[in-house]
Formats: sequence, structure tokens, C-alpha cells
Amino acid sequence: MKYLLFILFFISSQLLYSQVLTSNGRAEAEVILMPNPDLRERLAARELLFWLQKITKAKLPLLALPSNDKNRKIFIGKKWAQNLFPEDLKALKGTGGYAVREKGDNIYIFGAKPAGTLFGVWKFLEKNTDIIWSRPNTEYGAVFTVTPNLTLTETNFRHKPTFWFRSWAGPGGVPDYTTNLWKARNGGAPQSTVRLPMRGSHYIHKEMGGIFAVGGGFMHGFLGKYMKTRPDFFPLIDGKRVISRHAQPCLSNPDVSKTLIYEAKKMLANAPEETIMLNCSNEDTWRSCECEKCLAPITLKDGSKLSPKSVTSEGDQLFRSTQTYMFLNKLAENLEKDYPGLPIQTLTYIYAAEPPAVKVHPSIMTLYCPYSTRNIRFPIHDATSKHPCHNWAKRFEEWKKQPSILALYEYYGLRYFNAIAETSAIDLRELAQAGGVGITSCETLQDVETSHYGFGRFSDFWDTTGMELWVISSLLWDPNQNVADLRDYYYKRTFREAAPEMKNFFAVIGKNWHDKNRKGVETCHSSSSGAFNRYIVIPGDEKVARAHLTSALKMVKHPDSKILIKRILSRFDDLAAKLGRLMIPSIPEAFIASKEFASPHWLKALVLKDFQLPRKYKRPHDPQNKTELRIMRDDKNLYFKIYAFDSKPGEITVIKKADKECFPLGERFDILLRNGTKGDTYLFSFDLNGNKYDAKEWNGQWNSNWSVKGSKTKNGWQAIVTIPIDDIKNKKGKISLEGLFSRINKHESNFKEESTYKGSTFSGYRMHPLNFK
Amino acid sequence: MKLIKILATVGLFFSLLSLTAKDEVCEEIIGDGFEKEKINYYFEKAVPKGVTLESNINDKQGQRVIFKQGITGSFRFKKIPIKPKLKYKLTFKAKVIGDDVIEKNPRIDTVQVVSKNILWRWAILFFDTDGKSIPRPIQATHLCLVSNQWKEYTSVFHSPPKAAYMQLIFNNYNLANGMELDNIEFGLCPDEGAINCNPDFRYGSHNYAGWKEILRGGLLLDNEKDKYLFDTAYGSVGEKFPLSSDGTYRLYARGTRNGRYSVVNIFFNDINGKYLKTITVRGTPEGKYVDFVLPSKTTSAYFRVYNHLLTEVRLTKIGDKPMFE
Repeated sequence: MKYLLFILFFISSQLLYSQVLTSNGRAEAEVILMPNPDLRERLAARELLFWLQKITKAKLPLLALPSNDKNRKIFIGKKWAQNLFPEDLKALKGTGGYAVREKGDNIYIFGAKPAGTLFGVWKFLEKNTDIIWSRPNTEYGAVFTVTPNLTLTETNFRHKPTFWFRSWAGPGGVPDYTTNLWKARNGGAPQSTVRLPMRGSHYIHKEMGGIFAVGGGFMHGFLGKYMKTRPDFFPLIDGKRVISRHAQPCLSNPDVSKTLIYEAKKMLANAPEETIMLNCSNEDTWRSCECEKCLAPITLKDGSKLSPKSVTSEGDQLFRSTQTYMFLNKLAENLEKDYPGLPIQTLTYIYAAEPPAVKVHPSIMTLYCPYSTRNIRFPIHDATSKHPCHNWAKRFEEWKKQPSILALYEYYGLRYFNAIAETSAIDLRELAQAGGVGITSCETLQDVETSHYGFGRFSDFWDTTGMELWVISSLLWDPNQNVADLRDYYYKRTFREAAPEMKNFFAVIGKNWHDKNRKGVETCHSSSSGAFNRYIVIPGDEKVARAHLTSALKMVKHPDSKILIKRILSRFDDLAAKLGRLMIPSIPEAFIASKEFASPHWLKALVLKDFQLPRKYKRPHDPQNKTELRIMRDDKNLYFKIYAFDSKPGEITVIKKADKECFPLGERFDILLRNGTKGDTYLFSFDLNGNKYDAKEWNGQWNSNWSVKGSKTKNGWQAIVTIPIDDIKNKKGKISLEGLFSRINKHESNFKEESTYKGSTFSGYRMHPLNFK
Repeated sequence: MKLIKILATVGLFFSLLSLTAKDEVCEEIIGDGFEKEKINYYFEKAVPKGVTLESNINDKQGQRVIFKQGITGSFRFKKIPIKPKLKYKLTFKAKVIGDDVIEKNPRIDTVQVVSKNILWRWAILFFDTDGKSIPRPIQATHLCLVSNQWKEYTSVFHSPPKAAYMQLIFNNYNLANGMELDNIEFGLCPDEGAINCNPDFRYGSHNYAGWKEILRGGLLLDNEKDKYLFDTAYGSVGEKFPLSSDGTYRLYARGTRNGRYSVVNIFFNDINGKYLKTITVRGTPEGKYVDFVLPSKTTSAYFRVYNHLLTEVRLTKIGDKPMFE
């Protein structure tokens, strides 16, 4: 029995030892890469060594041939594997998939394509360590535990992606190396449309496993250069040729078609060998040609005529869409002999999103784009739309029936807290079932701290949507994965000790985001603070959501996880602040303070100084004289202290103190309060002499039990106003206040100037939410 | 106030229902200085006792109509025959009795555009040859009487294609309000230098002629002496006006940007009201225009203006034939 136990112990320890990759920060393995490797395989080896050194502190040797050392050997690339694992390579053929196999002491990481090897290395690292590339940032984006003794746990797996088209696009002109690397590390294969001749960026793109196309928009890619020589290529709109790249060509002109085919063939002949597609899309505009031929009825295959119902593409999307796909069909027919099977990628966008009345050529790859009226909270088949004529679900069904190649063109670049991954999963499953090839998503911003193109600070996007992109990246390899499981994986690896609280936080957003009874149509253009309001504040979850974040911050130990949570909390607070809510403090001594202008309790009040001239968009809006408003409250009253500065106080004109209520027609201050967005409106107008006027719903007969105390000062005037809260409560006794504050500065010399807090127009009712602290 | 709102809605509803071809029509009720002895000569239905005719003071000839305080309801003048597709102008003078006037509460200018029933409102309705009402957005939300001084109120409008009659109505649901009315004048509108109505807001800061829907924040403002500007807010909408003849047209706008998305859009529709095309221009302080060929089959157009402080917006015809072949 003793011997048996000893033998079992010996065998198991040997087996365990054979899984050891590093020991006490010392390498127990080597990496082997063929000489003159493919760019992607070279990056694969570099990434493996880089991350293993980061994680284990051990530097593994990189060799061109395996050494004679009795250590573990990791072979990178297809060439090492082709004789050993033919079945795997057969299964992976034509895909970007990968396999990791263990044979003896050796590990083989390979793909049928070089990019597969690269994706395989990253998955190998993920499965055998606790690393996650949670966001692109190089300082804290990758979260892992330093593990000097690394033992391998998963060394036999194979995976090929459901979709070959897994593209993420960010705006140009912004440094994007680390962001692109993040996309690749998580399985993305962004598309690059090559401008010939090739540039360095294409080399980097290729190295990361990206895919290539040539071409572009009708004008930008092909015909724009004929601006000076062929005005007839450009559309006739409102009676004249619009010579602009930002317009659709005159599609009925036979020379347009011939020239585009000529240009396309020229591009393909000079394209890099990795090119897998021709991109040929309508331009990003509704401006279409209105010439007689372009508006002539189209004869369909069955002999029927399709006549335009409008001269514009907005007015008849079916006609313009049919015209566009007939034009593209001609291109596809011309290219199929020389380039059989080459996808011709086109944007199924704006009017071209309407399924045409003709069959679309099987080589044409339609990027179905439900932009921008689809409510992105819900899957396409369940999508509510802002625009009644855009039935995205019906259109999607019709596109599925077309013989063309189907893909999605999405706008997942949402800069607000959202839970889009569940929606995306449903769309991707549906797309996979229909034989679709994948997606590209716009506006996935670079993880940089700078602001560009009016989007605000780009890194904010990753604070709110980083997890969604990570989950969707994973779904692009297998859309049938459980989104909740993927999220759990992300929480555990990214937020470590704080995973439960972060899960709670994101659950709040998910609950409200997916609630069909909750109003809100969201698109990539939705305002960040507006969405924050709709899915966190209005449902009454702001406090609880923030508490989850602060609690997570207390729990977390991993320094990088801590930074990530801090950033999310900071973004949360930024968005809360952007709602423009004015927090009115409760001061127990407020009633006493209301008797004295000089009471120190006023120092604790909310201070509003930003009084501006209304209706001065992008023009100087500073009033001649400044105004300061302080607000505080207790359980019974709201207290306002106004300090109205004036450089010529002697010239202020005020009406005499009246015996009864009268509107103060001279220099004055107006407070407009509303109890709830659709609630009653209360106007309180007063001046320094104590003249006052109040009205409820503009009815001056209504009277509040409010008081005004005013006085002149050396440099203007001041007043204290006390308004009983009970007087402005609604019938249910509730209070949810919004306010607008205006000063009318009036002098004897006909000078009259209105300044309002933040320049809001009084007639606009754009009120500032007043919250009770 | 809620009760007043309900009364207003119910009153308007029933008064619209009550219109039939049998209602009296009279061409002479307007422009006679209210010289007749009996008040009911002017109105479609007998008016309450609190509505009377009184002689004008200070040697002024004729009489004026007095609506005493405490009188509420909808007061409809007799219908007047009109012809379709013509541009008419109606003016009258009125002064409000009561406290809800701009002289006593300057914030009343805000009330005009937020649909509160504390002010006297007025509107013009259209009817076909059978006396059936022709749907038209009633401008009651912003056609209000606001001053306790004699003030001229103006409406300029294109009569709808099937219109045979028009009717001037006044509504009041505030017991504290009274009103005096004088000098109603009506006729074809003199050339305003534009196809659209009220192109330069010349009728003053409380005359929203030509504008159907004023967005919150939208307001006519005194600019300089006898000049006005219109804060369109985010998307105020003009009334539809007829357009039929082909040719080249000019859309001209003068004003200042007052927000991020700042455009003057004109939408063209066909006879069925179906949208055909949009032409856009952004107003500048110096004025800016765009020339274009009217889309074929156009029968009407209307404006929607975003974030402008407009001083002028004009659609004019500049040529019978398209300027570009």
C-alpha cells in the first residue's frame, strides 16, 4: 500500500511539474518561432513573452529552433503544427480561428491563418492566467495578478469564430495604436480601407490581424477626382450640378458606371495581396441626382415599372435604393469574372437601407445599418423607432431574404452608461442564423484623455461602455454565449474583490435599460447626461447605484481595479453634475438667518453667480451688472438672498412701496418655480422696496404667505425672500422643484437689461432642477 | 384654473360643432365702425347682456364693442365670404380691462405661448361652401390680447383652397377680464414682398401672423424702434401657404444663430400633403439666400425654424423658368 501511494504521488507530482511554465520568476519554458515569420506570428510571440514577463517576472527565451533543454516548449505558428494536427487545421481552414494543443512537453499555438495564431496566443494567456484586457489604457487597462509560479491549466482547446467580420471603427486623426491592440487582443479584426500606396499604418493594422479592403464611397473612393473634368458625373439638384464629394453620383449616366468599374479594377490590380474586399458605398448624404434620366421609371424584372414618388431620396427611399443596387449589381457582374467571390462591401444606409425591388448580387456585402432612428435599447426585431416610416425589423427580415452577403453596421459607440450587450447578443444570434458574416461598429472611441470632434473626452467612453464592448467582442466569436456569464467573468477579472458590488451597480443600469415600460429612445447621439437621467435618476436608483460604487471602492484591493472603479465613479459624478441640478442645503438655522443679511449661515447656502444675458448664443453674454443668488431651506421654507450689484446704484429706478400687491415694474428680481415638469408654475416678483407680486399658473389672484425684505447697499441692493414650502406643494403634498431666476436691471436713463441664471430664457421654461440635499 | 381649462376646451369643441351652413353670413359687419344699433347684428348668436355697443369717446365716430368683466365664453362674429387661395389681412383694435396685461405684469408675454387660459384669445376660422369647418390649427395658444391700451392686432393669412367663409372669434374664460373692441378691417393683403405671411414681423411683438406653432421659448421681441425679431426657439413652425407656379424661387433669411442646430427649413408638399423636398438656409445678420427650382407638383410649403433670432424670412419668386437648364 505504501509503495502504491508513493508511486501515485510521484506520477502526480511529475504531471504537475510538467505544467509548470515559470517557477519563482524563473523561466521553465522556451518559445519557438520560425525564422522570417509572418508579421502576425511575430506579434504573437512578442505578446506572449511580454505578458508572461509582466505576469511571472520571468523572461522566456525566444528561439528559432527548439533547444535540447528538457523544458517546456511553446511552438508559435502553423508550420510547427501542420504535420502534427492536420485535423485541427482542416477544421480551422479559411477562418481566423485557433487551436492550442499539448503534445508531450510541448505546446503548439496555431491557426490556419497567421491571424489565428495571434488570437490563439491571447486566448492561451487568458485561459492560463487571470489577465483581462478590460480597456486599452496601457497603465491600468490590463488587469492581472503577478504570479511568479505559473502552472498551465488549459492546453488543449480549439475555437473558430462564428463571424469573420469583427470590425470596430474609431474616428480618424486620433492616436489609436493601443485601442486597436485592445480590439485585437479581444478577438476583433478591424477593417482598414487601403489608400494606395500602402502606408505604415497599414503595416500595423496587418500585424494586428486586421482585414483589408480597397475603394470607398462612390465619390470619395472613385469619382471625386473627376470634379474638374466631368461635371456630368455629379448630381443635378435644384437645377444645377452639385460638384461635391458629399453627394451621390448621377447613376443614370453610363460613363459613371464605366468609370467606376475602371477605377475599381485599377485599385484591385494594385491592392495588397491581403485585400479581401472592395468597398463601394453610397456617400453619407441624401443628396441624389434629380436629372430626367435618374428620375425615369425603373423597369423591373417582371416588366413592371417603379416610378419615383418624389424627386428626393427622402421622399422615395425604395426608388433610390433600387436604383443604387442596380448600379452596384452592374459593378458586381463586371468584376465576378476577374475576382470571383470577392465581396463588394456597401453601406445599407439611409435610403439604401430600404430593401430594393431587385435581387442584390450575391457578391455584394450589405452592411445593414439601422441608423439613427432605431432605439438601440432593443434588438432589431423588437426595435421601436423614432421615425414612423423606418420599420427596422421589417427591413431586416427582407434583407435576410436577399442573396447578398449580410452584415450589420452598428453604432455601439455609446458615451453613456448602457447595457447594450444583451441587445447585441440577440441581434448577433439572429444574424448568425441568417448566415450573416458579422458587424462593424462605428465610433468606438480611442482610449485617450483628449477631446475631439465634439465627442468630449474620449476615455469617458471606456468608463461607461468598456464592458459592453468586451462582451460584444466575445459574442462575435460565439453569439450563443450567455451574456450574464460573460459579464460575471468580466466583473471577476476586472474588479476583483469588488466584483459583487460592481455587478450590483451594472445590474441597476441593466434593469432600467431593458425595462420596456420605461420611456426612452436611445441612439449613438443620445446625450450622456440625458441617458444617465433616464436610466439612473428618474427610476430613483441614483443613490443606490452610487452606493454600490463607493462600496466597491472600499472593497477593492487590486491597484488597477481600483483605478478602473474610481474612473467609473468619477464619470458617474460628472454625469450627475451635468444634469444641472441645484442642490439646496437644509440649514436648521435658516429661519434665523432669514432675518439678517449678514448672517454667517448664508455662507452655507447654495450660491448662484452665473447670471447671463439670454439669447446670446456664442456671443458675449456678461451683463453690465452682476447678480448673486443664495438659496437654502429648512423644513418649512425656502430662503433666497439676492445681491444685485450695480455700478451706478443711484440710478436704479424702483416703484414706490405700494399698500397692496402690485407688480414691481422697475428694477426687480423674478423667481419662477415649478413643482414637477408638468406641475403648477409659481411666479414671485419683488423689488428692494418690498413691492411684491405672486401668481400661480399666472393667476395673480393667488396669494402665497411669502415675505420680502429689501434694502439699498453701497453698490446695489439686496433682498431676502422667504417662501413657505407648503404653498408650492402639489395636491399630493409632494415637492419636486425646478426654478428659473431673472433680474431686471433698470435705470432712470432708459437702461434696461435682463440677466438670468445661466442665460435661460424666461419664456423658454428651461428650468433648473432644484434638489433638496 | 383646471376648471377654466376644461370649460375652454369644452366651449371650443361645442362651438365648432354648432357651425352649420344655416349660420348667418354677412359681408357688411366689418369696417362699419359698429354703427348698427343692435349688437347681435354683428354676432352669429345672441351675445350675453354684458356685451354691448357704446359710442366712441373723443369725437371719434362710430361705436365700439364692450365685453364687460365677468363675461366668459366664445364670441363669434358672423361669417364673411372670402375666396380661396388669396392672401388676406385682418386688423382690429382692442384693449383689455383687468390686471392680466403687460402693463401690469410684463411676464404676460410669456403666457401667450404657453397656452394658459387667463388671457383673451382670438382666432380666425375657415368654412367651405357648405359651412363645414375647414381644419386649421387654431392659433389660440399665441393669438392673445395682452394690453390695457388700444392696440392693433393683425392677422395675415392665405385662405385655404376650399374656403368660402372666414370667421373671427374671441374667447375668454377669465372672469376678471373685460375687453373693448374697435375698428375691424378686412381685405386683401397689400404686397408684403414675400409669398409667406408677415415676413419681417412688421405687425409688432404680439402678432404671430403666419406662425402656427411657437415652441416653448419662442417669442416675438422688440428689437429696435418699430423693428421686431422672432426667437424661434427649437423648431417653431409656420402656417402652410399655397404655391403652384413653377419657376425659380429665393429663400431669404436674416437673423442670428441662437443655438447649436440653427437652420431655416422650408418644406414642400404636394396636393395630398405628401412631403416632396426641403430647402435650407441659415440666417445671418446681413441676410443670406438660396435660389432653387420649385419641385414639380408642389402645392404648398411651410417653414420650420430652429434656433434663430429672425428678423426676416422670405420666400419670393424670382423667375418663371428654372434658372439652370
